[in-house]
Amino acid sequence: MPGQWHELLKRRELVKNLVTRHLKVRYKSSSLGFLWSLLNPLLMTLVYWAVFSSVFTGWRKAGIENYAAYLVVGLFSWNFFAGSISDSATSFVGNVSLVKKVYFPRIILPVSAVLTNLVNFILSLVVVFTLLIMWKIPSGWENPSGICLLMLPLLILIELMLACGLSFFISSLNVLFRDVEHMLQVILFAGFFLTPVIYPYTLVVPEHLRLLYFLNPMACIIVSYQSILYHGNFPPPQLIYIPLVISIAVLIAGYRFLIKVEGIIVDQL
Amino acid sequence: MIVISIKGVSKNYLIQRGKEPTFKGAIMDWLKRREPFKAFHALEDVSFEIQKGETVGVIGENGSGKSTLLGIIAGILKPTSGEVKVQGSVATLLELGAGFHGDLSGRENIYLNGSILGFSKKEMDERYKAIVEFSELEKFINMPVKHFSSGMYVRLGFAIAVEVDPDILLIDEVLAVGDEHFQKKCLRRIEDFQKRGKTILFVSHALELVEEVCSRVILLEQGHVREEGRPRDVLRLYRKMVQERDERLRPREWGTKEAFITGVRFLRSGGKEEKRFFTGQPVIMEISYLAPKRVDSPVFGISIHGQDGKNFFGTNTKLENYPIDHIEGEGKIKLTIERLTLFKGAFFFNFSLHSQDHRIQYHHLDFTHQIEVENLREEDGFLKLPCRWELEV
Repeated sequence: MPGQWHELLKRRELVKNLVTRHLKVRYKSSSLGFLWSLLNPLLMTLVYWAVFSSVFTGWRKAGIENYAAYLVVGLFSWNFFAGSISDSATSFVGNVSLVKKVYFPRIILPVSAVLTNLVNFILSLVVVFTLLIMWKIPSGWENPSGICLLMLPLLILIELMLACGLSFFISSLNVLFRDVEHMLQVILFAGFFLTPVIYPYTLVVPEHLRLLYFLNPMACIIVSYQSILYHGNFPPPQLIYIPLVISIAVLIAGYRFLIKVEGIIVDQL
Repeated sequence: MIVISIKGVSKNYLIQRGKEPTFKGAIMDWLKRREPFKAFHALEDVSFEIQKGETVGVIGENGSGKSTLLGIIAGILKPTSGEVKVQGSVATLLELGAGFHGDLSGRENIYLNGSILGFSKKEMDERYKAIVEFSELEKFINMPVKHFSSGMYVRLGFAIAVEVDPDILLIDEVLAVGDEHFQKKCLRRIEDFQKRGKTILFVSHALELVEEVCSRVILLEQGHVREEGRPRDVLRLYRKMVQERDERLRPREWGTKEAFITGVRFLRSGGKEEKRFFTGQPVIMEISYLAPKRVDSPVFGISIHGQDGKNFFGTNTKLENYPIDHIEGEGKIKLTIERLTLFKGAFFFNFSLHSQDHRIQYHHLDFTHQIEVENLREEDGFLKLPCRWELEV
């Protein structure tokens, strides 16, 4: 599969510039700048914490001592995914003049939308770690099982591949059907609740449905983040294999799809 | 050496009916079993070759396929059929700052644009000074470009395109925007390009500029190459074409004026004045006239024409067996079209007042009145004819 992958590498300068452009524009347009991308999930954490910590009391039973810390881990990791997907929806539609006037490998646009969110996520991990250390969570980090942190890059890579693959579909589908953007919000909203971000799955998902539940690669990914960052454990291997296989498949399928409809996209914009 | 070779290139656009393509629309199309797309032939079987060092102008009316052609050569659009070969590096002079981002400064946009055209930061560092110098925007280069005027946009865009020094430069209708001083500067740079044996493809409506700059001109008409050759000859033909069309559709008023039409109003069935009608709706035309002296057996007539001047329909009071004995002084005559059977488009309505035997033309209004017609259904053509399908087994 040469072609655009190869060109993508050749044009990494452009990818870099587009990512910086996204970031600069995002942070220049508001006075709080980068702070917003931290403040937003932190405030969300606060809201969920306020609502659910009083409604549910089963946290401790499920082994969650610090619900706020549990939320921070899940929300930031989910936001990387959701942000990538919703930004990629407009990566062609929002760059009409660019796509119609200059030639460059089109795949660069959704890729740079996802990479922008990756940069954001990595920067926000600093805040996540600060909070976790402050809260002395997980207790396991001080002992040798802290090596589970070595899994983190792999996990981020899996999430990145999944987001990229989906972004190829979403960005081009949104050109062919402009209402994809609207449906996407609903789907992401549903996806959020199908993924154990605000609840521990052990508490909510019945035993016999778990196999089905973990066919959602994001469910595996979020649980893995939680087990590495919150519990300080290695995630069960199948929660790595499943999303790894799915995200590679999605990446390849998305790439092929984009290449196939590329010509139509330019005509339709 | 041939650097651009176009062989039998056609480009069809699939136009979705309605406004924007949506899932909802696609589902409706599927439920109603209608074809969602309509093909539009932007280019049909276009062939030509361009030698290294030539400056070729592409002219034609709006919608003749000029920009599509440029897009195909630039690699932006894929041709539906045919073969395109381009040798050497190509830079497109971006139309009014395509690829510029309003919130970023001129400086940041230079680097962004450079990387879009395929240049690394290092390569752009080398060119940066020359770009700023050429664009004469030193004072503004750190300002967000959204505060730039359109002239400044063009200057920056042009400066980037020429300083990256491509083998082939594609220019799409931009030079007209800058001020005269900058235009001259651009022309000098283009001449410099020509001297160094670079190839330029130039799409423009500015005919004088095309004549001055180009060594050859291609005239496109509705997606076909109508003519190709020396600028003077091709431009003469093009000017004649445009003039003929304008001539045909020029609003005119003429006649002996023994009696004349003082005004026309287009009304809906409720009596409300309207400029836009829907296919199938009734249209009422209220023609006011003034006959200073008595005129015996006058005939009022109308005709409907398309945008190219073609006559679709015409009738008058005589043909409709509505004899008028005489008119004198002011008055109004009303014509009702029960069902407007025109499809989507803009149509001219011409009015006439003449004698029974056409010998005396009292008054004509040609191409002075126009109405828009909207069609809510997905039908093709100009005209709806009452019809019925029947399957015989």
